[in-house]
Amino acid sequence: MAKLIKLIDTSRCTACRGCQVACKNWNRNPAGKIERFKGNYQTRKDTNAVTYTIVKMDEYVDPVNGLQWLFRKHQCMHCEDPACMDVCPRQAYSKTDWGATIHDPDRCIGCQYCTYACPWHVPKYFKKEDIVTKCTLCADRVQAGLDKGSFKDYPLEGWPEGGTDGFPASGTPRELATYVPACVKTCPAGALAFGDRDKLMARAEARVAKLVEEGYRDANIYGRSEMGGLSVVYILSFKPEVYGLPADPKVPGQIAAWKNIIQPYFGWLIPLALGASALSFVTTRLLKKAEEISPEEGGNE
Amino acid sequence: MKVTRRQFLKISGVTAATFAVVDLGFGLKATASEVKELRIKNVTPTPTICPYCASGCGLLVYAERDASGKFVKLLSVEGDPDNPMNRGGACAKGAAIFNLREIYDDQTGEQIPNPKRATKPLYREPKSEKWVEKDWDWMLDRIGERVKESRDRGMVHKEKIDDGSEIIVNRCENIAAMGGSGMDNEECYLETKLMRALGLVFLETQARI
Repeated sequence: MAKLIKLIDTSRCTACRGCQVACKNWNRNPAGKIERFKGNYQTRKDTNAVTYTIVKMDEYVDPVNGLQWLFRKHQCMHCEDPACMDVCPRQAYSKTDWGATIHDPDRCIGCQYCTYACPWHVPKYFKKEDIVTKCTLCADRVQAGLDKGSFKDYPLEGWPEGGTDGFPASGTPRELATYVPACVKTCPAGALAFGDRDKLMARAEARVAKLVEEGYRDANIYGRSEMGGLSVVYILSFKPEVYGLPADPKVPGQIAAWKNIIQPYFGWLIPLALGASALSFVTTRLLKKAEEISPEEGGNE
Repeated sequence: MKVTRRQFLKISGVTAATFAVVDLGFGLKATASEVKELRIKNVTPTPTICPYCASGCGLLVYAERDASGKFVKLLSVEGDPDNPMNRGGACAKGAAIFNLREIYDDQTGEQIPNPKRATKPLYREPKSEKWVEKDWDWMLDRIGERVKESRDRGMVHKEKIDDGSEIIVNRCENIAAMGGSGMDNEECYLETKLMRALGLVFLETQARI
C-alpha cells in the first residue's frame, strides 16, 4: 500500500510544544521531572523514555539571513530500512505496511542495541520496566482509520468554514482527525501534516522552492532517501547539520557487517558444526572400529 | 566427573540439535505488527471550551463511562476539529487539559486523579501560612462578611465637583472584579449586575467566548 509520511515544516514551527503535550496525552506518559535551565528554552536536552518527542531549539548565525532561532520537532524518523530492527536480537521491531516502525515492549529485553545503532539514538532506555521506548507514529490511530477505510490526509483539504457540511459521506473532521498522529492533529501552526508520501513530497518541494525564493538558499527536504527514505520528512531552511541532523545518516559499519554477513549465516554454523561432528564420528570411530580389539569404551588417540 | 569422549560427543550433539531447532525451527521473527487498538474507537466525545487563554479553542473530551452511564475516567482530551476557532489544534496548555483532572503517576505510570487539584474550598487566614479546608457555607458567609467590611470602609457617598457643590455618587473604590475567559456571556452579565449593585467601578473581564 501507499506509504504515509509525517511532514514537518520547520519553517512554520513556532515551538509552542503542543505536539509534546499531545504526545504525552495520547501515549499515556507521565510529565517527568523538569531539567535545570541550561541556557536554552528547550524543555529537555533530548527525548527520554516517557517523552517521545521534543521541540529542539538551535541558535545559528547565517551569513545571509543573520541570527536564526530554529525549531525542530524531534522524534523517531521511522526509516524505511531501520537499524534498530536489524540489530534487535529479539525481533521486537516491525514495520507496518504503511511505514511506521513499531516497537513491541513485550518482546523487548532492554539490551539497548537499537539505541546505539540508530543514527539519531532515538530509542531510549526505560529503567523502571527494563525496556526501550520510542515514538509509535500513533500507529493505533492511523491503523484504525486505514482498517475502516476512511483515512484522509491531514490537515484536511478545503476545511469547511461553516462546519461539517463538506464531509457527509466520508466521515466528519472529528472522526478523521482521530486517524492521524496526535502531534499532527494538535499542531496550531500548521507545521505538521500526515498523509500520502507522494502528495506531501510534492507539497514539500513547492515549499522549499518558496523558501529558496525568499532567500533561504540552503532550504532542503530531509528524509527523501536517507536510511531508505524516512517516514518523517523535514522541510529545513538551512543545512541539516545546522539542526543537529546527520547529513548522511548511516548505520555503523560493524552493525551492517553483523546484520548483512554474520547474522544471516550464523544459523548455519550450528548444523555445520553438527555435520562436522557426525563426519568426525564416522571417520574416527566407525571406520576405525573394525580395527579395534579392545572391548573398552572410549577414545583411543 | 569424568566425561568420556563418547559422552562428550553425545552431549554436544544434543545441545547443538536443540539450538538448531530453537533457532531455526521456532524463529522469533515478528509475525504481525504489534499495533494496539484505538482506545477512543466507539467513544462519543463531549465538546467543551478551553478555559485558559482568550482564543476560546474547542476541545473534545473522550471519557470512559461505567454501566450506569456515569463518566469514570478520561481517555483523551484533544482539540475539536469542528470548532472553527482551532480546527482540531491545541497548544501546549490546551493539550494538557487532561491533567486538570487526572495525571499519569510519575512513579507507577498509572492514571490517577490529580493530587494537586483542589476539590474543597481552601482558606488561609490573614498572616497565616497554612491553607485550611472549609465548607462552602462558611466560605460564602466569610466572603460576604469581607465584602461588606471592605465596601463599608471604602464607600464614597458624596463627591465635590468643580463648582463646589456636592453630588451623590455612591461609589465603591476599594474592590475590583476580574472576570475570566472561562465565563460565558450570561455569566459575565450576572457578574456585572452584582458588581454594579455593590457600587463597584473597577470591572474587568476577559470574555471572548
